[in-house]
Amino acid sequence: MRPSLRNESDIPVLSGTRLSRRLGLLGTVAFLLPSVTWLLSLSGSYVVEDFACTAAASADAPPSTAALRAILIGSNVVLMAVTLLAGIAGWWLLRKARSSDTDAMYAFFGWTVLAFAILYAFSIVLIGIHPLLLEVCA
Amino acid sequence: MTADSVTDLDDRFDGTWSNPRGFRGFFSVVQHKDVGMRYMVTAFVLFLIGGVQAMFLRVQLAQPENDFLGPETYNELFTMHGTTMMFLFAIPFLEGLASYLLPLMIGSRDLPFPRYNVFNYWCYLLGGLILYSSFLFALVPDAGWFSYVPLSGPDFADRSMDFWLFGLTLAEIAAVGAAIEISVAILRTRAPGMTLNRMPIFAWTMLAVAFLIIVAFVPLIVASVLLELDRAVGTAFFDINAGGSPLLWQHLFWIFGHPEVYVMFLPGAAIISHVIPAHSGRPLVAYPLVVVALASTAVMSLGLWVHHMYTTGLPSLTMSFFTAASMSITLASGLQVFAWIATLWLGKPRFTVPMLYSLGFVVTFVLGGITGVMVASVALDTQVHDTYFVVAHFHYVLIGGMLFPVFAALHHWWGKVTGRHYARRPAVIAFWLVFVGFHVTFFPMHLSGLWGMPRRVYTYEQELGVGLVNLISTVGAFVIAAGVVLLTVNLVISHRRGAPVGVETGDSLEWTTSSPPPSENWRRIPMVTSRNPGWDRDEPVDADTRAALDEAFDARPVEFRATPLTTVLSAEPDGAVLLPRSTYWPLVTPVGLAILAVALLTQWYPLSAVGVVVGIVGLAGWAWRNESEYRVEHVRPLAGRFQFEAHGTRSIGWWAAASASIVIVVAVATLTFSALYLQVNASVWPLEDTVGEPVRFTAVAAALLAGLGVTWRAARQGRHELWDLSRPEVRRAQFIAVAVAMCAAVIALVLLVPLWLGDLDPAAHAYESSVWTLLGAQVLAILAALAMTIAALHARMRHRRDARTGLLLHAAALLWAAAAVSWAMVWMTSDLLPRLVI
Repeated sequence: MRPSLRNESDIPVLSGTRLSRRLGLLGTVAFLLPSVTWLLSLSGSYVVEDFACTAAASADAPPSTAALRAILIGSNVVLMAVTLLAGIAGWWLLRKARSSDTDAMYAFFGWTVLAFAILYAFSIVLIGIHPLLLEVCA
Repeated sequence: MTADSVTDLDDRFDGTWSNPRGFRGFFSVVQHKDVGMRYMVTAFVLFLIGGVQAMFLRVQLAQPENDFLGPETYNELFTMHGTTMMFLFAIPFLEGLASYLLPLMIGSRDLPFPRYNVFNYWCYLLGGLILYSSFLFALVPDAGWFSYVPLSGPDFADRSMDFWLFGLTLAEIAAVGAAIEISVAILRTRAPGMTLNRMPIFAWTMLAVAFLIIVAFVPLIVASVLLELDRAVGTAFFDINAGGSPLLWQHLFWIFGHPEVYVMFLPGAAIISHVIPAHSGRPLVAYPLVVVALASTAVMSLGLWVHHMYTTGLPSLTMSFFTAASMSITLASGLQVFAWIATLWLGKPRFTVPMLYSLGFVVTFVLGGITGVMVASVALDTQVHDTYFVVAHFHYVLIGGMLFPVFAALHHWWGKVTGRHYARRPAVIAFWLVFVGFHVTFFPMHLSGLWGMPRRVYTYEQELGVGLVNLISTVGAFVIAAGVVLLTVNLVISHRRGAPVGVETGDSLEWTTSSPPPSENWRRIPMVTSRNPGWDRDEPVDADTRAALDEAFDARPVEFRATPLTTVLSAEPDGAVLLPRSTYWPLVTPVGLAILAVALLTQWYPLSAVGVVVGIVGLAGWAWRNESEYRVEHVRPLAGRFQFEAHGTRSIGWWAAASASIVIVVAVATLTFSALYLQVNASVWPLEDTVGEPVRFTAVAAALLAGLGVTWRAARQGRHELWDLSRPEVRRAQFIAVAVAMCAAVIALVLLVPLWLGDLDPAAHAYESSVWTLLGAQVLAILAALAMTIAALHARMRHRRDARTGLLLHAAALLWAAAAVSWAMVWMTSDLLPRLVI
C-alpha cells in the first residue's frame, strides 16, 4: 500500500493501541491548567491593582477601591476553583490508571496534575488573600 | 543481501554521516555535537576572561581607598564581568551542553534543525565579538550588566552602550533560536517508547527552560531595541519629560532577568538529578514530583520580576503579590532538594568528583536559597537593597546553582564526550579549592553588605570597617582562581593524554552508545522501555516496532541523513525527519546582521544596506539549498512507512513555524505591554489625538485575514492524498493562494509603510514613539509572512509534487496568523485603548 499523507496505521504501535486522544488531551490540559491559572492570578492581580491605581492617580481621579478589591478577590477565587478542577481531573486519571494497571502515562499525568493543583491552589491563596489584609491603591 | 553489499551500504551510511574537517569544516559543519562543543568551548573561554575581570575587581576592593583601578575602569570591568558571565558564558554554555547531550539522551541522531543550530552559534559568537571589540575602541560599556536607564540612555552613556545593546541582541537572538531547537527536539524526536513519564530530567528541564527563554528573552530583545531607538532615533520610551518612564526599562529587564536566573539554575539542577542517581546507583526518588518542581519553578520564575524593584515606590499591595509568588517558588525548589537527599539516603553514594561538586551544589544552593527567601521579604530587601548582601546572595545562587553543576557535568560526561579519563587527584584538589575559595570569597560579603557596604562602588572608606572582610573575599577569589586553573589544565591534559575509557554505565540513554559517540549517535535507533534505559538495556521491546524501525533506520538511509519522528506524549513512531548536512549558508545571515550592527555602531549607514543584502542573500541561499535537498528520492517514505512530508503537526516544519509565530506574538505583546504601562503612568496620552485611521486599519486587517485564509485553505487541499501526488487543480490552487497572499502582503505594506514613515514624529512623545515602533514591528511581521509565502512559491516552482508546497503554505498560514494577531494588538494599543483614558 502506498502511504497517503495521513497514515496512522502503517507504523506498528508500541503497546498495541495508540494513546487515547481524548485522555491525552485531558491529561495535557489538566497538566498545563494550574500553571496558567497561577500566572493569570498573579498577572491579573498586578494589572488590576497597579494599572488601575496608577491610571487613576495619573488622571487625578479617585480610584474605586471597593470595586477593585471585589474584582481581585473574586477573580482569584474563580482561578483557584479552576485549579482545583484540574486537580479533580488528575485524580480521575489516577484512578483510571490504577484500574487498568497498564497506563503508566495516565498515572504520571494523574500524580503530576494533583501535585500541580495543590501547589498552585495554595499559591493562588497566598496572592488572593492580600487584598483582605492591605489597602487597595495605598 | 551479500556481505559485500552490506559493507557497501555501511560505507555509504558512514560517508553520509561524515563531517568535513579543517577550514571547510569549521565554517560549514552543522552536526549537533560539533556545534555543541563549539558553544561550550567558546563560552568556557569567555568564562575565563570574565573570571580574570573579577580578579581585577577583587584586587581593587582588597583594601579601602585603593587606587589599583580608577572608577571608570572599575565600572567597565564590573559591567563586562556581569555581562560576560550572564549572557556570554552561562546561557550559551548550557545551550551548548543541551545541544551536545540532548539528542544522545533522547535517542535522536541530531537536532531537528541542524543548520538553524549553527546559525544561532554564529549569532552568539559575532555578538560576543562585537561586545568585546569595544575594548579596541576604548568604548567599553560601563552601566552595569543591567544597564539601568537613564544611566544607559542618551544623556549619560556614550557609544559604549551601543556595543552592549548590539552585541547582546545578537546573543539573545541566538538564545531564542536555541530554545526553539531544543523544544522541538524534545517534543518530536525522542526515541520510540520514551513517553513523557520516561523522559530524562534533563530533557524535561530543557523543555521548561526553552519555554522560559521564548517568553522571557524576547522582552529583553524588545527592551534593547527600545533603548537603542531612544539613543539613535530619539524616541521617548524612557524619557520622563515626554511621556516615557525609566521604570519601563526595569520592568522589561527584570521580566527577562529573573527568569534568566532560573534558566541557569534549572539545567544545573537537572545535571544534579542525573549525577546523584548515577553515582549513587539508584534511580532518582520521586521523579513525578521532581518534574512538578522544575516545571513549577520555571512557571513561577516568570512572576517574580517585581521583587527586584521593591524600592522603586510600588504600591504595597502590588509588592505583596510578588512576595507571595517569591515565597511560593521556594516550595517548588525545595521539592528537588528533598528528592536529591532521599536518593543519596536510599542509594550507595560514591564520592567521585561529579558527586563532590553535586554535594557542594546542594550546600551552596540551599544557603543561597535561604538568603533568597530573606530578600523576597519587602522589609529586609529594603534594608539590604544595593548592598553586598545581594551580591553574596546571587553569587551563592549562580555559582552554587549553575557553576558547580557545570563542573559536575564536565567530569560526569567527560569520558562520554572525549573517550578519555581525567586525572582524579588534581580534579579533587580543584574541587576543594573551588568550594573552599567560593565560601571564603562570598560568605564575608553577607557581612560587608549588612554592615552597609553598597555594591557597584569602586572603593570604600576605612571608617566603614569592612576592610578585613573585603581582604578575606579577595584571598578567597584567588583560591577559586587557582581551582579553576587546575581544573582547566587537568581537563586539557586529560583530553590529550588521558587513558581511554572502557564501557561506562549511567542511567540515561547516552550511556548506551560508544564513547565518544559516533557522528550518527545511533546506528540502530534505540527503543526505550523504562525511565533508566542505561540500566535497563536488556528489557524486551515490541518486536513489530523494532522490525519496522530496523527496516527503515538500521544503518539507513544511506544517501541522506534522517531520524525518526515520534508523537509528543507517548513517543510512538510517527514519521521521519530529513536532517540537512554541512553547508556554509547559515554563516552568511549572521555575518549580514553583524555588518548591520557595525554600520549602526559607526553610523556609516550605507554599510547597513550591505548588511541587509548579505542577510537576505544568506536566507535565500539557505532556502535554495534546502529545497535542493528535498528531492523526491529523499522524501520517499522510509521502508514505505516513515513519512517525511506528512501534514500539519506531523511535519517538523510546522513546529518551527509555530515557534516563530509565538516569538512574533510575544515580541508584539511586549511592545503592547510597554505602551500600556506608559499610558497609565503618563498624565497625557496621547499629546493631541490618536492615529485614528479606521478605514486604513480595517483594510490592513482585511488584507491580513485574506493572506491567512488563502494560505490556510490551500495548505489543506490535497492533505489526504498520496505523498508524491501532483494534481493540476491542487497546483493551480496553490499558485493562486501564493499570488493572493503576496498581493495581500503588498497591500498591507502599502497601507502601513506611509503611515509608519509619514507624519508620525517618534521623538515628540512616548505615544508617538510607541505607535511608530508598533507599526515597524507590524511591518516586520508581515515581511516574515511574505517571506514564508515566497518560500512556498519557490517550492512550488522547484518540485512536481504538491505535498512540499502544502507544508510550506501551512507554515506561511501560521505566520499570517501571527501577523493578524499582532495587528489586533497594534490596533488596540495605538488607537482603541488611548481613547479609554480615565
